[in-house]
Amino acid sequence: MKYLFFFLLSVLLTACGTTNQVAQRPHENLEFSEPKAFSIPEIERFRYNGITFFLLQYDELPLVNVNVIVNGGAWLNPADKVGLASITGTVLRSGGSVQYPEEELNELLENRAASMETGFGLVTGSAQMNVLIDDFDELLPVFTDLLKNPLFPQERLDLAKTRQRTAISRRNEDASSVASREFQKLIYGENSVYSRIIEYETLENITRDDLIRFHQKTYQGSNMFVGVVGDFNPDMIREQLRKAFDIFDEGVPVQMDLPGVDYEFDEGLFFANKSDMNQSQIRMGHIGGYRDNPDYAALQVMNQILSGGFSGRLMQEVRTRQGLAYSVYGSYGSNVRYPGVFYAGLSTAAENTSEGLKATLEEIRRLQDEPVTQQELDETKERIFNRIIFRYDSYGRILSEHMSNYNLGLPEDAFEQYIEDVHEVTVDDIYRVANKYLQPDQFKILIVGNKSLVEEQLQDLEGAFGSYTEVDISIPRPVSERAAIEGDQEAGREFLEKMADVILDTRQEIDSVEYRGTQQIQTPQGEMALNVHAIAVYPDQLTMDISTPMGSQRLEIADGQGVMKMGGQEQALPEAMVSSLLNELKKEPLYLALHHTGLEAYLLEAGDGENITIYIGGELDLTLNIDKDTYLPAEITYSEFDQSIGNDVSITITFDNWTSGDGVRIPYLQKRYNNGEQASQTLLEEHTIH
Amino acid sequence: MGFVFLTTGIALTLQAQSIDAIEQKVTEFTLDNGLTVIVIQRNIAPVASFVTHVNVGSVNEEIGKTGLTHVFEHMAFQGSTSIGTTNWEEEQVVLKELDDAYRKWLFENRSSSPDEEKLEELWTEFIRLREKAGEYVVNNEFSQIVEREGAVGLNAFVSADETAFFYSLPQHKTELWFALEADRFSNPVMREFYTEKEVIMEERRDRIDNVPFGRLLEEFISTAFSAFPYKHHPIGWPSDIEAVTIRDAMAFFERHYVPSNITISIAGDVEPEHIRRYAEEYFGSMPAGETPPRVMTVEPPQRGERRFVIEEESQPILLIGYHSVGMNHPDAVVMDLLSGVLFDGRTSRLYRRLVTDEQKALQIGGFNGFPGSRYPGLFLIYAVPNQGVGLDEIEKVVYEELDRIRNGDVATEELDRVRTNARASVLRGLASNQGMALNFAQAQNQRGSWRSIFTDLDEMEMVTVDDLQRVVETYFRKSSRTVGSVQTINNTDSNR
Repeated sequence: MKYLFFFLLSVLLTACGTTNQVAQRPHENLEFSEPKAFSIPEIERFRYNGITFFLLQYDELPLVNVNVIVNGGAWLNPADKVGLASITGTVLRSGGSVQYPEEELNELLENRAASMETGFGLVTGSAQMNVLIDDFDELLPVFTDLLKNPLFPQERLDLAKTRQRTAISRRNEDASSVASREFQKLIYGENSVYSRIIEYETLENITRDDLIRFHQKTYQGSNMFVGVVGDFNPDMIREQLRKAFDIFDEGVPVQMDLPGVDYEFDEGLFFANKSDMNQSQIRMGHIGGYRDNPDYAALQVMNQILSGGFSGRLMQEVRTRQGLAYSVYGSYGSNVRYPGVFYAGLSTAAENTSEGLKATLEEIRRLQDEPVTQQELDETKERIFNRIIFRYDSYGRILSEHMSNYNLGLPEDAFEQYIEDVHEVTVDDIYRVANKYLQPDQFKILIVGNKSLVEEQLQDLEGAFGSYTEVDISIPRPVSERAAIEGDQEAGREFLEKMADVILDTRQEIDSVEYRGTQQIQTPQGEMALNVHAIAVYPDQLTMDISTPMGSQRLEIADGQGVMKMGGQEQALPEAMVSSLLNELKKEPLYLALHHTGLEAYLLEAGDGENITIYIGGELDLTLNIDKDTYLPAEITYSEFDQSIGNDVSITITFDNWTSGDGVRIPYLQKRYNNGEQASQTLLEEHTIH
Repeated sequence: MGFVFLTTGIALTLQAQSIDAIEQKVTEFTLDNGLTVIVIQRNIAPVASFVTHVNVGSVNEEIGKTGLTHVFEHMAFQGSTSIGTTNWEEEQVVLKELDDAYRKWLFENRSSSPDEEKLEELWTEFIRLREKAGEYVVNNEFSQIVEREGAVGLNAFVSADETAFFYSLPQHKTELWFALEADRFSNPVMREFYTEKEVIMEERRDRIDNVPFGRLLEEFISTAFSAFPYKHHPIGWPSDIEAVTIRDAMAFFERHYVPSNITISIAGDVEPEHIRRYAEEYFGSMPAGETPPRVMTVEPPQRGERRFVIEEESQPILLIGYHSVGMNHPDAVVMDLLSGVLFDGRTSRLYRRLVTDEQKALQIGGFNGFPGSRYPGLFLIYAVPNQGVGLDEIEKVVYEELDRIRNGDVATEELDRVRTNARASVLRGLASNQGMALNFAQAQNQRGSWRSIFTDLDEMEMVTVDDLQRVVETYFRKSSRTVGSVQTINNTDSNR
């Protein structure tokens, strides 16, 4: 009864500290009987047709569940078809089989309160059938037929894509998932199979043949693990399974050599703006490790000390004592097949961003700065030991853990070994692994929050963690419109040629162009007038002198960097603003005319309207309207992610008052509309070509 | 009791599992003070799940004290007069001073012309006392004790209708649960009250302020209800959360946490006679107390359709709600069948039409009893449109499908399918200690008997197409509906 001893000790210590101790404490002096004897249910295993089967019989309820695991998942998908595995999982079920296509399958199952579901995750795929025992004999062959002979109808693939596109358009709604997603990218790298996400473009590339091939590769007997749990007939089950799964080919298993991660420890502060928040989502950490690490048990105990239930330090300190978060957590992740992540995170009021971040970091540092007390370690171990029995309170869970461990190649007694190792973990071990595996000075720290509410705190954090990098969470736009109009590229090019002819008198070389004029901007405080003098050196330099009634500023962009100078002070422009300004430069009619031969242009509309509509693809991604009679641009429309509001804005710029000079025509009146609302108007007075 | 026999064998299978079989495993008794205990024996593993269910939800809150049910729920994890403290005698004196100090600050702060200097002085005094009170605190001691003993799933929730506390323990530690549970509900202490309210404000930010769907739901109920206290979210309005004090919370506890308002439910490998002994020993001395006040307000009839739009930077969502009936009304089970026909499963009417065929919606769903069902709530319908689909298109389809039912266009097979799935779902719910303990406690405390879980299935068998038709005709009227949506800001008149 080691536990009881330490527990009494802790009470005594508390009691000694005070003179006026309360009388009876309700949980003291209780005598528990010995834990009830319990034998872990036996799982039978056999192989047939390359498939490994697992059986766990129990007759509490007249139900049977069949679980299938197949190796292979999203990690196998090519970079230009991210989403293939998940779409395959969806359409495998929604399309039905030859015997029971689509709606027929749904009715068959729902009339019997049965379910069949399929899916693919990052590493593996799965399929489940849940039925009442009376339907098992009839539905088992339907299930295997679905898994072996899916229809994959094109219209269900299209539906799955429509739904996935909607999901993409909604992926920035929930800040917590934005933070987790972007943090994964920071750790594993933007293009890693462990962090990449489905984009409109990769989705578009997925074809029915891809689904068929991916399904064939994974649903091979030797690549499958099948578990059955519930009230089946133990005398008949093997024969039933052999018969039903006989239709699969033994085939070859998917080689589970997942790519490694080339991680370099390096600190960094990152920020993503989402303007509808009054809270910040914070994540911090670095790469984690593997399950076969000899320090695995010590790291798990450390995780419990840091963040195990209400008793963990993060909950105790950041939530209960300081009231800085409702949700705060952290864990050193150890995976079997690829490295896990060490992360800690919380959500906290915008005004507490810096404090919450530092309080969480402090708890991680404390693991390294001072050894845990023997008491805290012992209590943590008790927590782990006393709840072991809960591994066995669900037959379904017993079976799925067993199957998963078997597939991962963990020894059958892996859990028992882990528990033995936990017994051996010492105070020194915790101190040692905390210092060996955690590197808080090399954390990547990500904040997703409302810039206007956290700006000052960000500056404060920059003092401690170096200047922050802005993370672009904008959703790359779909390319579907481009694909739909590919046939008209020839005509598009012809009209651009005509446009270039009227803008440029000669095909001269132009290094730069200089403008002078006034600009009226709509601000929340009303209209503001500016005098502007700008020199644009194509394609990537821009100098603007702006004078307002309040004073003058100079903006300079060169070599991808931008600065704003004002009254002897200099301030760097955010990366996002620099790229936005340079992008606008490339959308000017003069620039388009000069570079029209290199543009990907498609004619959309040359019919009845006043204008000819051309779509320009590639990085410009804009729609251009050209006057039918003069061939001069009338307006352009494009979408841009606005960092300040954290959302896409539709921008339209109209061109009027075309004026000739120095051999080129320039629109002297330009109006800019954001989401249909006029944002500014520019009136030029002169232009010069250099 | 009558069963309509289905042609398949399902009804038979499930019938065998219903009341008679379950009855063997359930023991139910009530202590002299009015506290009810349900024991469900299930010996799948030597563990048990424990639930304390209290018939108090945000619906019982007074104006100006919204969120108090939830605040108290948090406080029940802060220990008691003997747990979580180094010296209760001294601590209670400081807590009293602390509450007085907060009230002084609050009154000044909410006065018509607060004196800044005085405010700061009062706040400084409050902070001083909060720190002083903190010196007596043994942080999270209650949670630490139970987690150390092997507790899993330690948590609680508050809804519009109810409060429930739960966790599971190895079965040989059943007495520990009784000792600690009786203690925290007999000797509660509003420890770390003002810090915990900060945690609750964070919870509010997590669940409501920063989630488009959360913002919409809060706006929706406060629009749909005029008078009935379903009109506020259980988390409470921020200014009320700020304003509630320790004495408010204690008064709330004394009024609502009386034995007749509490049901304990235990599922797992336990012996009913042990449970009875522990219940007598630990809860028997809890004073019976007065019957808690009832909700007197009745929602007046709605005079016309209500509509609102939240224009913001997020993607569109649609909610439609009709004033409906509470769970004890005979039409409640008809409403459940109706929601099954319309929304449950891939074969349901609206899933098939909006998700599969017309491909307008990413998600469509609906159910009766929002935000609660102890009293008449709403039949709520929610939809998430696919990219580029207008909410009006979806709304139109929903009304068309309701009209089809109004016109009697429902097949008996559709009703049978819903009934079959309802039976199976009750059956599947019997596979978890935690789930069973909670479901049985809820049914017992709110419906008067845990048996209602099963008798509802029998009542469902009696429902006819005519009933569906009648219910749609009676409750699904334009004048009693509220339509709320989030729409993405995209045009010039957004701020006018």
